[in-house]
Amino acid sequence: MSDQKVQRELLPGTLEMLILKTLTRGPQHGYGIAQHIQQTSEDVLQVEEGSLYPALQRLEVKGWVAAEWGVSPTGRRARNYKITAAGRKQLGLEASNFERLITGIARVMGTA
Amino acid sequence: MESLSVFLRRIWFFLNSRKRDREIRQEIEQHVAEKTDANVEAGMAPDEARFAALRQFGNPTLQREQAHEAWGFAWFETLLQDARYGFRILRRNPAFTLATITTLALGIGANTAVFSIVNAVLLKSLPYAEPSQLVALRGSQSLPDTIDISEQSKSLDSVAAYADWPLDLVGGPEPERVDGAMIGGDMFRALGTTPALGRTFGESEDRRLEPVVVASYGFWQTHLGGNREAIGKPLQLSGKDYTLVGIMPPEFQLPNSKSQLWIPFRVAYPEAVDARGAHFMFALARLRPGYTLSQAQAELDQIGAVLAKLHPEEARTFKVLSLRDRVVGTVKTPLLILFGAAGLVLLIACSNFASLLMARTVARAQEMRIRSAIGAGQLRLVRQLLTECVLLSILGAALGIIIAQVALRLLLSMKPEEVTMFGQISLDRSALVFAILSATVTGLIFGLPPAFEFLRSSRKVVETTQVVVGRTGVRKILVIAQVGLSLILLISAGLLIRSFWGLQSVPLGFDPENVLTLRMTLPSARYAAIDTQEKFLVRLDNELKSLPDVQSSAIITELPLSGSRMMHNMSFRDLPPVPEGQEPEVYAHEVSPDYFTTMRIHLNSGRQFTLQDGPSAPRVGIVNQAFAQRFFPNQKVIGRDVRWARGKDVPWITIVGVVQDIRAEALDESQEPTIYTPFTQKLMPWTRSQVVVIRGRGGSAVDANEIRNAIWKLDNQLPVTDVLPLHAVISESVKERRFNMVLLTIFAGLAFALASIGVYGVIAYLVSQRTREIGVRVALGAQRFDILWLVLRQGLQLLTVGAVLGLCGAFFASSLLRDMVYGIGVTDKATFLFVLVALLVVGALATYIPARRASRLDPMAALRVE
Repeated sequence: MSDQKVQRELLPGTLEMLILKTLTRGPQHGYGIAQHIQQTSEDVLQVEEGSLYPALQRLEVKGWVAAEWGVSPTGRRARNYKITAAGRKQLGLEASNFERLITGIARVMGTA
Repeated sequence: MESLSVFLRRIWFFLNSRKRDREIRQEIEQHVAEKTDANVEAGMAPDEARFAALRQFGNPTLQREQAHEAWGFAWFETLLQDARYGFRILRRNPAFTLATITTLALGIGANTAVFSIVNAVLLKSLPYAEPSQLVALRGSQSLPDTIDISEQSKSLDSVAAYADWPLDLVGGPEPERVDGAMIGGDMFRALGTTPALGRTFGESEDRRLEPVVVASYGFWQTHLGGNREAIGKPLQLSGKDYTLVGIMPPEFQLPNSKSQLWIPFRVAYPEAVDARGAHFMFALARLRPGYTLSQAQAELDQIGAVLAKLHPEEARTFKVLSLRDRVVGTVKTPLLILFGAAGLVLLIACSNFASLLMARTVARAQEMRIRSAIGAGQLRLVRQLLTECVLLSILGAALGIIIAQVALRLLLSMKPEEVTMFGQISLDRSALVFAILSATVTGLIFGLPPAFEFLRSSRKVVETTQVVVGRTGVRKILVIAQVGLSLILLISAGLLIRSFWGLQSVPLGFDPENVLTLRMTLPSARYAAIDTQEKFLVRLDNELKSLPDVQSSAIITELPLSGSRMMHNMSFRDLPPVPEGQEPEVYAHEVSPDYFTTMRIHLNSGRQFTLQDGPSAPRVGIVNQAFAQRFFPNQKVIGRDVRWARGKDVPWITIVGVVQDIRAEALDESQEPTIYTPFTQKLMPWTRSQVVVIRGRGGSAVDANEIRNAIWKLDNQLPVTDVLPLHAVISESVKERRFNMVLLTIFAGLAFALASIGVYGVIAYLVSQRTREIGVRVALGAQRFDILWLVLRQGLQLLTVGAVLGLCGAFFASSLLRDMVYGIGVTDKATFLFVLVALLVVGALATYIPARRASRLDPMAALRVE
């Protein structure tokens, strides 16, 4: 576990971007997405797992993910989410926005 | 903002919302379960594993709700929720709900009904082409005058006149009397309505004596079967043959006329074509473009002067006014007064609604605070109240529409004649919308601010209920206003009621008990000569007397109080001569010998007519007291000679008797000088229509069929119409008065009821506000009576202020009723006093009920109340 935990509040909309990115690796259920984000970020991002579900609903309504019932790796009944073509496009948009944001912040910080 | 596909998806999700919610719940459960498993595998105890999993997860309920919100229609769903909650609240407080809805409904219903009539009669345009250009002459005109005006006037176009003329239609199973009218001039052109079928006729056809007839749409449907082939067919009317040439569109009527068949004047009544003295026609015309009413009047004054020089004995003045004014003139003021009354009722209803709402909101302060404490936003609470308010308004409006329909039907069934000509009167939509809106808006204006007040104040749940003094003041003012307004209405109604009852007990001068009347006309074709008419009437008289149920029967030209009368100019042998054209006018009737006996009119002096007063006997007449008083005051009247003023070789009539005055013109007018002449000495050849009056024997009512058969035995082609008991005729004569009185009374009653409820409500509320104070007082030694008086005093204060304001208003308002009040002054003390006392008593009672409750409060409970 990392010593310094990042604040739990992400920038708005970031969670959805992270979910979409996770799903590019393949269909996944809610628990799995949470696990992936936590592990891949090396525990820096400790997302409140419950907040995934509203986010997933938003993504589903916007048509960026599609869902269907299936079975989880551990044998439990779970809903698997899959990224759609529209979702991929959206991910690209958000990713590049994010890049620009980070670059901007870095520049400002870099001149300190 | 959202694309269409997203929106559609939303809708799809929303329709499946229950399934979705369930799935999300399952999903979340699975998630937590999986995490718990992982924790157990990592070595935690099962319970601890679950707790840790949940902590990591967050609040499942909150997440579920937010997940739902992601795709739901939040505003709509909260609205539904508010509505459902509102319904529950309303159902749990049936008294409040019922009171509010009824209040609203009564105000809305009454107002809409009256306004619908007012709109149709006073505001809507007449059913003719460009009706604002149509004008009419005041009073009745003769045909020669109308023709002269038409020829000499530059400002008026298509001057025409009509006279209602009953026509005997033969050809059906029974001879039938149909309402017709004789038309002189270009009437149809003046009105501008195109016929639905065929053509109309005008002055030229009239001059050419074309026997044509135009029928109304209704007549076409009922009598001709709506058959298009009817055009060109002959119709036999009153013994003459006419050809049907046209049908008018539905709803077409001559102004102020119920006639269904229209025939040219010269064909129908050639004898009167040159009778300049026969004033019995309704004349109208169209203003030529560019001319005003005052110009037309000036012109008419000139024409009148010209005609006066040419025909001095028939000199007249002509007054012109707009057709609408001529038609609705008499009805205008009462209608407007009624509309004002309805408006007042709406005002009171709205204020009651507001008052009730305010009380309700205050009572729910606690609930509001709790809801606010657990997280409801201000907007949410306000929306809740708004929804309830709207719900009440909708329910009230729905009931109001029903009441309006019922009220309108009721009103129209009692309506005065003038209203019929405006066709079908139905609920006016804009009036309905106006009433509903005003009720709703009032509710909002008064219902919401208290809510805001509570929300802005401290949010502590446990808190003493503050007396919101500002709101109390408003409610007090409302109640005072209600009391005042209802007092005005009550006094107005009281005045009308007293007038009406006064009229009912006016001595008639005759006895209408068990008297049947009916009208028959002898058609000119078979009864042209006077002696044929006389012979028939004598035979009829004998025939009717032979019937066992008939105590006595008689015949007269026009019934008293029937609204129609015949006048004639008289000259007197024993009085100084009067210049031509200025002879006094008296009413004239022809009667059979038993008329005064049958009607039980008292003979003051002299004798009655007998059969000896026949065609060859000296001409005799009987006059009434007013006649004797006017022309021979304090002198002997019997034996004097009089005769009709104009006409050639008119014999002198000797007065042989004087009878008592009766109410002949109207119940509220005393009789004018009248002379009666016997039928057997028929001096007026044109009166072929008469009324038969039959007094039944004992208590049994006269059988109309028996009488009809007796008449038909003598001549089976005589139409017999208007079979009515004399009581009905009298009742009919006060129809308009009754209409106004009933209406105003209903409004006053409504206002009174609403105001009483208002008083009760406010006092009850004030008591609830002072519960703690009362508890303290009792604890300190106040007796029950002291508390009672405390509350009563508050109520009486309100009542007194309201009553005083109301009295001032009533003084002002009653002056508007001057024309409608009879027999008592407009500031009749008895009425004012009675109504005032009644109001105060009921108001005191309304105050007493909560006062009594207050005086019985258990002081311990009172002190514990927040």
